[in-house]
Amino acid sequence: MRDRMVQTCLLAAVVIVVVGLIGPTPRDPYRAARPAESSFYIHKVHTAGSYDVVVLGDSRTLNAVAPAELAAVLGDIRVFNFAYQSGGLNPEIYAAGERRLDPDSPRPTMVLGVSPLTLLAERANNTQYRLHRDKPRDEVLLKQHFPEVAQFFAPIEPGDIIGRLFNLRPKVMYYQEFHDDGWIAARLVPPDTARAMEPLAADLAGMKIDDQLVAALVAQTHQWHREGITVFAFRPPAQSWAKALEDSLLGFDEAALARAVQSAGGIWLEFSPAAYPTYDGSHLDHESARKFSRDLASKMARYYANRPEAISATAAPAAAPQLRR
Amino acid sequence: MLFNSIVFLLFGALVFALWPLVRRWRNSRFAFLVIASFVFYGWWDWRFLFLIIGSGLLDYASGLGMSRFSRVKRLFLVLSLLGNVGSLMLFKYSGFFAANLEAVLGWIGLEVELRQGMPPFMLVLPVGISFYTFQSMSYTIDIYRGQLQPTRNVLHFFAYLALFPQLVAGPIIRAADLLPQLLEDRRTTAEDRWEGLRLVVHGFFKKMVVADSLAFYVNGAFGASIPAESSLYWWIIITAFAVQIYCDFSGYSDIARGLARWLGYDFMVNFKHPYVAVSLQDFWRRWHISLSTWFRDYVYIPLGGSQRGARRAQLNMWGTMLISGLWHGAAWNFVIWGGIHATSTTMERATRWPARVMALPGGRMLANAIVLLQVWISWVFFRATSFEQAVVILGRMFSFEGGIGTLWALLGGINMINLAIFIGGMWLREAYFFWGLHERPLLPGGWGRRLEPVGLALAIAACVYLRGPGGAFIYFQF
Repeated sequence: MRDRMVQTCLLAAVVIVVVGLIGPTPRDPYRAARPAESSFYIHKVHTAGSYDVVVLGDSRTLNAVAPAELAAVLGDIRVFNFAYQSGGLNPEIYAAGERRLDPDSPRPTMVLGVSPLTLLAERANNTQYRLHRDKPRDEVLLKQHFPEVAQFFAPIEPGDIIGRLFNLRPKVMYYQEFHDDGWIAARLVPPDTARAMEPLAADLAGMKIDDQLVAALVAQTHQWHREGITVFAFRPPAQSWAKALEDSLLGFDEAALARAVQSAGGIWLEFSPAAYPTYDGSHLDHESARKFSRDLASKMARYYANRPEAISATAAPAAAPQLRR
Repeated sequence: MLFNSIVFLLFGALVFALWPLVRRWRNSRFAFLVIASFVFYGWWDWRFLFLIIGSGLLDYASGLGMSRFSRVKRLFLVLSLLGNVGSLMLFKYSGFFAANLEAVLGWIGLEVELRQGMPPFMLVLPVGISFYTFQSMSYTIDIYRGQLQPTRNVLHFFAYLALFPQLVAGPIIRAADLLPQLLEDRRTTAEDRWEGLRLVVHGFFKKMVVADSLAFYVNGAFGASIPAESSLYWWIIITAFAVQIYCDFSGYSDIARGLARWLGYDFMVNFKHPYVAVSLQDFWRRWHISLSTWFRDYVYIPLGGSQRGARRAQLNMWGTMLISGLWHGAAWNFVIWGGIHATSTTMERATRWPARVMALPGGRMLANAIVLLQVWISWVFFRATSFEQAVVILGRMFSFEGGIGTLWALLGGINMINLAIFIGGMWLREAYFFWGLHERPLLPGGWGRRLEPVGLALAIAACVYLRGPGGAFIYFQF
């Protein structure tokens, strides 16, 4: 009987090693990327690194800002993309982002990708961030320090194995490339710039910009400005339909927010959406993201070069605007 | 600490390596089990150990008090019940009652905000509180009834109360069953260890492969801001949830029973294939047996059970079902879930439909289908995040709109195959028991026994590679 237990365990070990060595990778690149995605977010949330520039925002900023491109333009500077899928801009994420800034940095900078969705109360949970922040310690240790081991034991879906027999493939392939600096380079094959329209309209129905989150954004900008942290903010580029949909459904007034951020000491940057093709209407593909990041860095560099010392670090911000139209 | 975690693998290896060295002497055995159980529980949040220790000491002292001062034993019982029900009220139900009181006062024009004034610790639900308080209450109630002698050894008591395999999600073991087992130096036989392995592997397979894989689809469906408009989709999702919760919870119970077996102890069977039930009464004899028998013995029968006439029996059953619903969670959804089961049971008792249906050709299958329909409807309320969501989903389910094309668009090919494999696989397994095939050997000539190690080895490998993305056990939140 004891032999049966030993036999079982030995046989299980052999099967596990064999499957780990020859196990199939899913044909769907989105599914194939899941283990790497999990390790990516755990590294991102639990990174102990210190940076000169930290980028906050939601999935649009996550896909749009490539830190390596920023560093290539800005020179010897450490940049980290701390944006998350379904991310909101709120005090919790401001504090988490600020902890990633090097206190001894010569020019500490926060970059805020302010899509209207980041100012919704429904996004205040920061689900992606919290999910990975609250992962069990053993899983964090494994994926952070032994990603190869985690990859070896990556799960396989039975549907994928059977799907191979019937040559099932998704009609649309979603590719993601995970970078240690927090950026996800993404693309859709074939791209579909109207893809997000229907789900976005459904998701936003009945939602409105949260005035308290707007006030918190302005107050945080002012506080960082007082502490000597430069704050850049922008609206991530999206197709015109996405912009119109968000403005009308959520009552988002970009001009009013830009004025409020500027009055709090931040710098609002404008970009022409047409210059940056998206893969689904609201997220930049990897090539667009690289271009956008270089343009963002150029604008930041111009500001650093002509830093307007006249701006008083203690000036009180204008009252937070009521963004709802 | 979760069973399905790397840290539990290390913890388990250490505990079972040391166990043969400490189990011979009573006090070292008790102390070892208590320390191991406290490490297991404290891994989640050590501060709540004080709650277990506090409420445990109260029950331990109450037990001794009842034995020594028998004239005032009722006082000690009340003290114990107040302590246990009080901690449940404080940690589990205070937010719920405060919210309802706010709403009631709001209706009569009094705007008060009770929840904002509550200290933050009251908003955190200690893992397993519903299980260990019920286990602790059964100890003092049994002593009060004269069915149990209290233990004078505090380590013996805590080894019973906090025994790690069943501490956070049951089965709810009665003191009369476990305290005597703990007193003995129970050496495990090869048969015990093999049976333990079978239970542990079955439990992990149900939890990690089936329940966690289905959790991905169920969570996605219930997490969507607008419920999908397809009847077929929702029937599949509710079926997926029914399989998920069964595999999640019975998987935990199997693991707990297997680990206990390795320690040399026997825990009661908590699930007996509930989805093969042919009446609601049958269902409750098969689902979460340790809880339903607890409610039967400590709520339903003390209320009078069925001894005081049919009307009173209905009333007692309703009270028990509604309390059982509230035990699962501090929300009206769970009360409604209990109410649906009570309504179905009332109808069953009044019409005696199972006997009539079973008399028809194919009646057993029809009776099973009727039971499952009622259980499925109740699961919608159990899983929904709000009453409104449950109503919308039920509306979708019974709209009978949206065919295969809509389903394909919502799920896609690979997801549909995954769902078919996990739901279909579990259904085949339950059908095997429904038709009584388990009573005969599956393979002739002892081949079933010879091939069992191969089956278990493949199941272990499946736990590693076919594991789903789910995480904690559902019943941890209760």
